[in-house]
Amino acid sequence: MAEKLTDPEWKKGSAELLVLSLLEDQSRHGYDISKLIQIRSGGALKFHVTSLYPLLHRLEKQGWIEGRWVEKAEQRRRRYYRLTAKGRKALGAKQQSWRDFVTVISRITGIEHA
Amino acid sequence: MPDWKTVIRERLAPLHLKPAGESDLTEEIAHHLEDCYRELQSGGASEQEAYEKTLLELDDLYPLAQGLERNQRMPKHDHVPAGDSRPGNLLQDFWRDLRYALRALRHSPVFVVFAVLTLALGIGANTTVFTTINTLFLNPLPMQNTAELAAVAAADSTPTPRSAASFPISYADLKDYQARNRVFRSLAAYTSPRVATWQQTGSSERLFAELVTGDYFSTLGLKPVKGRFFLPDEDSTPGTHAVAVMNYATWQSRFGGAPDIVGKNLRLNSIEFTVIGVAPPGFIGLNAVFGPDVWIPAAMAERFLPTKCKMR
Repeated sequence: MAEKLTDPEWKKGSAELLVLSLLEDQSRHGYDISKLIQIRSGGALKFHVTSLYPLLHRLEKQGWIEGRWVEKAEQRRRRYYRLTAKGRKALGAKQQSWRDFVTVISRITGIEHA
Repeated sequence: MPDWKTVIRERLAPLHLKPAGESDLTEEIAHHLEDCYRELQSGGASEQEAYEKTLLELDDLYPLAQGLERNQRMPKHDHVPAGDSRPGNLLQDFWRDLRYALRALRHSPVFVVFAVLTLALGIGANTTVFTTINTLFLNPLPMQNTAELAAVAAADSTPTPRSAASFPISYADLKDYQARNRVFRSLAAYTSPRVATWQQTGSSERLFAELVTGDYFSTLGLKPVKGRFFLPDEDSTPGTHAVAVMNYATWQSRFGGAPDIVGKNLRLNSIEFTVIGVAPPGFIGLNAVFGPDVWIPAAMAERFLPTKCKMR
């Protein structure tokens, strides 16, 4: 799916779920998150820095993720984000909500999962 | 490599971010853009192409402005250049200045303590000096012929005096001077204001009373605004005439200028004094700066003063 999603509302509605999902297994920095979204969506989804970082700050403010500056040898310091226990719960709820939504839409439209 | 931090700071300037928040955000976004730029170059893009494509990331600042929490941003205001004469909103500017001052003060508590102490000492010293000048020069004694007044005090007359200061005269000496006086038309005496307890029903207050000889007010040539001053016999027999003359300011402030003040009773140090008159406005006695609330006859000293404070 190389075509970008044209409806920004879709992206907006799923942004939190996407970021939280990518942090489920490991902590990542902003660029890593952005690249993963772009790659895994086949280029259909892309977050500009002006959208991504306010989102990360908002999630941090909500206590769902935690940002921490990490310095590694011979590398510049970077801010890594990890999922908090509260964020993990929120992710679970969002995943369930998304599944329910897709199921309902599928039932109505007759579109099956790929 | 372009200086991404500078580029970002320029772009973020209109958002008025708080310095700490801006610093972190700038660094974070700068790293992101550096990664983008490197990746584009490693993909074959020229420096210029990579720069332009990376800059596209910052094209739309609206989500950033909307997305950042309100507390990460400074309040919007115009920078006022030096010498700007545009009229401002007085109240708004004052409120902003006040908040800025409080924020600045909160960061320097030690400075605040020293500043407050310095101000307190300065104001205290100024008040004292002004009160003295006001009493002595701006509002002198409310009487005529002040040039004819003279202060009499005792002094150490030995060849090598231990102190140049004058001493109070004892009551017995005063009586002696009065009897032998050939110099002055009259000779009166007064003490410094003494603390007295004004006992009322259910409460008590502190008052200051000055003990004076019976001819104190007549010597000064004063006339009462209400009632009368002491009669000669009210200061002749010890402890028999519990009468008092009230300070005009005390009459106004503590009794609201009550027209029936003359004849009222004041219980001072467990003695019922009768108010016989009110001194003229502005007269606070001869002790500069600090005056009494009432004047009472010196003959009442024995009964009025606590044992250790009897008049000498």
